[in-house]
Amino acid sequence: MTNIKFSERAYCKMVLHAAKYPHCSVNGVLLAKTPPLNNNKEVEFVDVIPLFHVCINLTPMAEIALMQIDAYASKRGLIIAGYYVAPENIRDDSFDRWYNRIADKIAVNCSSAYVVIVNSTETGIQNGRRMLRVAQYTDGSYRQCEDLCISDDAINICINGTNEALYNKLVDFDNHLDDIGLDWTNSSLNEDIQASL
Amino acid sequence: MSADLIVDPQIRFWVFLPIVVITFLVGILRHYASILLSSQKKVEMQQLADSQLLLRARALRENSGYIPKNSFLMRKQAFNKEDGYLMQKRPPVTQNMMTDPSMMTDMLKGNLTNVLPMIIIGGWINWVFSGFITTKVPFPLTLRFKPMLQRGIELSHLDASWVSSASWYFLNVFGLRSIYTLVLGENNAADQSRQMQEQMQMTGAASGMPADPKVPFKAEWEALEIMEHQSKLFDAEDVLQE
Amino acid sequence: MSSLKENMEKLKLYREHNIRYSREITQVWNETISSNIDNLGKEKHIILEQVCIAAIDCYQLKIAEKCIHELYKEFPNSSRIRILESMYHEADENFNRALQILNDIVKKDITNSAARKRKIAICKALGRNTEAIKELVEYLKIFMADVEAWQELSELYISEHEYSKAAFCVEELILHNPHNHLLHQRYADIRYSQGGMENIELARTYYNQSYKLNPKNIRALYGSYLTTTALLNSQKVSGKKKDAAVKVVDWCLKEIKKRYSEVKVSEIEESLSALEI
Repeated sequence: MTNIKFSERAYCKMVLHAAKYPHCSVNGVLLAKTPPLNNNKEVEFVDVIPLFHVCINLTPMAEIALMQIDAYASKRGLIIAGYYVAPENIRDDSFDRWYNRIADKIAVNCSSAYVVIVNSTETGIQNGRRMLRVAQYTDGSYRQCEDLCISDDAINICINGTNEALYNKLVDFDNHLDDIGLDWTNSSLNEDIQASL
Repeated sequence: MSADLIVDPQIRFWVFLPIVVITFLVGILRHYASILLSSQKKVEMQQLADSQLLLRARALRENSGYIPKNSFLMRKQAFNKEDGYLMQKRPPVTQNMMTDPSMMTDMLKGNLTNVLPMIIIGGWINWVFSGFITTKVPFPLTLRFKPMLQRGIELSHLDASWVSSASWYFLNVFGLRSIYTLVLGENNAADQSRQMQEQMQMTGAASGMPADPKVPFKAEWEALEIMEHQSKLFDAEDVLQE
Repeated sequence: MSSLKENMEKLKLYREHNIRYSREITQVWNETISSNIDNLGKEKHIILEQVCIAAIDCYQLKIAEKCIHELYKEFPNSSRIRILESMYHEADENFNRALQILNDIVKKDITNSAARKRKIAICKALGRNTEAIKELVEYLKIFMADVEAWQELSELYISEHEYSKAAFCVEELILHNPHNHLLHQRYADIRYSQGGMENIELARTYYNQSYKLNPKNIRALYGSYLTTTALLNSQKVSGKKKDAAVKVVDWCLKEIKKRYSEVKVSEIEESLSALEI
């Protein structure tokens, strides 16, 4: 079984994205360092790029986003290796329901792609629960991964983040398209998270 | 002729202003009275659905240029085909004003709050303030205005610009309409001229239609039938032309 | 600490623009409004309603309960407040009680559209999207001109990947609001997602329409670029049309570059290079 590791930055940004828009379904992509191979023992998701919170099943802006993220990632030696979605209804946690063409696109470029469903609630965050379900996505089928590794630091940053409304600093691609002055790479938020470690 | 007549300044205080004040206050009273007396008009489901249908048909006709041709044709068919939306049969509605009880009470209430006070107060003013001129309109008028503006004064030499008190009252009733809008907000019941307008036409707004839906259905059906789709979208290459 | 007046102005702004800042609204309530309910003047009831909905949104049910209580004091038989009460039960996941209230309202007044829409919202909350769609379609057969309902239906269809039906709904929206650039852009997004040459050409027309209506819409610009590139790559265009399309693509890229250079975000410019083909 592959061990899936989430860096603090990746985990926090996913949870904060979901917390910023609790009334919407949000999605985004996960960036990993080494291209994960099927027989590789460990996958580490280093960063996350939050994408949309409005009509996440529409593809044109997703294509634009993926083009730009690809260039951004390759410059930093990363690869788009996963797709995450935080459903608006916390009871929605079936992988088939949240199929998105983005996952297909990612699977084309990366031999083993992962899909993450984030089902975080405020009480869950405050109680320090890890609210992710991860599955490996190959050829249209999902194989759930149980071996998740999320550090306690990440959990603490999330708790503080929701208390201090740190999610207001997060910029997703939709925010960027509304105002292109906003930075979808979230470099300042990344620094904040780094500083809290 | 116009500069000759000197009006008693007491008329200003005892006739001119009181008539304005009386009209204004009566208007406000009428507004509150009609609120108290008004009954909630109950809208029938079918009427509501029909008026919504007509709104949608009208939107389709007006803005079809902004949707693709196939979409327009599909909708036109849905509305106009054999058992389409606009061809639905409706039971015939008898427009009998006298026997319909709810209409009778509405009419009665309308008359009570509007026409009756106007007649009573107009008559009272005519009786109390009779026999003298009240004011003068600042612009010259032809003789044809005399009977209108000089109710109660039978002087053939008098310039048509002079206004008697009864006529001044009626001028106020219509003139203070905009003041009522300021004071009472939109949709006030003291707005008499608007009410008279509404009595003339049957307003078919989204709230409900008392009239027979067959007539507007037919009208929309015909309008839609003869319509051709004309695209109002910009041409694809035009994006370059700033 | 802003004054009561400032907060009331803020709430008014949120109402007028229909902004869903529920956390901020409950904050404002806690700060000033809750201790000044009687000083709100004419806006008292509309503010209570606004705060109630925001509190329900944030699961601050005590605040919601207080607001509903105050509103009932003034209007004991109002169906509008009963709908708020049903939303309160809905937030507490007491769906049966909520549905009971709503069914009662509809029984008493069959033309009440707000209660029907809340019932559809409950279907959605229970995760029964297909049922919600069915109910909404039935609702729209009666209330054909309800723009809000068409909007909701289009979003439900998009979440179910039913693009052609979603496009139909957005067409209805365009018929009622033909000059709204966001609707044209959304329509183009849906057509593009549907795929197929015809749909991509349609998407291109609508992206251009959206751009003409509002040149600040960068999604329309990106969309124009995407669709024209797709058409070029499909090799279905030739000759003069091809040249025109190439010109359009170049112009789009230039415009996009211009917009980004106006904002001067250096990190992003490097990733724009991905767009050059």
